[in-house]
Amino acid sequence: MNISELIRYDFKVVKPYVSINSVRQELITYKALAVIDDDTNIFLGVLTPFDVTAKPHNLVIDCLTEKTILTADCSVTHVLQTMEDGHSEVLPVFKEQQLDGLIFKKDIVDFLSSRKIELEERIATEEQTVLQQHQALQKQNQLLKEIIHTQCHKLRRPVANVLGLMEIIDYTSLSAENQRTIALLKESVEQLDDVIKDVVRKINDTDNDITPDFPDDSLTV
Amino acid sequence: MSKTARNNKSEPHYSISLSFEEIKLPPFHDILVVGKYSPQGKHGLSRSFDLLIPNGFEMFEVKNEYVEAVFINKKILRKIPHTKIIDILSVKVFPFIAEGELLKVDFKIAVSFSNIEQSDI
Repeated sequence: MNISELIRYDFKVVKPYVSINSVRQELITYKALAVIDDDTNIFLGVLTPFDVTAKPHNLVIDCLTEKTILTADCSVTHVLQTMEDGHSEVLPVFKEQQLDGLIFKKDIVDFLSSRKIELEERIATEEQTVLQQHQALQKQNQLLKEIIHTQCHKLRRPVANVLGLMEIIDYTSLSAENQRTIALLKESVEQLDDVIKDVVRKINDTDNDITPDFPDDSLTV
Repeated sequence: MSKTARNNKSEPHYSISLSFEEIKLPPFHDILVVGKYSPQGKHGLSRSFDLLIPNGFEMFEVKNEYVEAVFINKKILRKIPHTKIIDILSVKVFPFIAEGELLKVDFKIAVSFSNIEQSDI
């Protein structure tokens, strides 16, 4: 992100060869003053309260300290680092070799603070939404498991009964063809039983809370 | 107003001492050393010297703990380079300057040559 939206264009201009005392009140009000030569219209620097402290001279021109010149496409990170390195609260921004505006550290910090608050609020809202969705999913999941569990339970009981009944069939009284048919029937019922057991095992793997209490393959007619 | 009332009124009594003499501006002629944090900064002084004596002095910024700049008369600079002058000042003058002080330095030069030999005379 660059500083283009944070540049102040309504800066105050003062002359270089005037007394510091004559601009002191403006300096307090505006926090920074652009110093421009009234004859040549050349930009000479930005006067800040730091300058007046660092170089306590009588004239504005003598109080100016060297400052890095920026352009609007400079990144916020770069500008903040430059300000930190140069102990500057304000820096000039140039466009086509001319003073375009001033960038204030306070404006950048205020902007970043508001963005931070905005992002924190968004994260909090999204966290709440995700939590609600998660809870809804958990609820649905639980319901689904309960349904499957119940259905498997209900389904397995008659299967177990069939298997039990097949155990007590007197195979000796059956013809050879019927014995083969019963054997195939038993195989199919056992396959069905395996499928049901597999579904139950998968439910148990995903949620240990739901533990189906299937009876043994005992006959419950 | 009666005479008595007028006499009672207190009137100021003046005692004046007066003298005069010619001065020349600027109040130094050779070198001015500008100390750090002096009320008059190098740009303001430079401008005022330009107005008082156009093209009379040259300013040199100095990297020193106590000194911000030095103004040297251009007549001196015709005789000796500024680096040598600043070297001398660094030893003889800069250690004595106080914060915010302006020092005028009298710097008189006499140039002489000896044993000049010329074969084509």
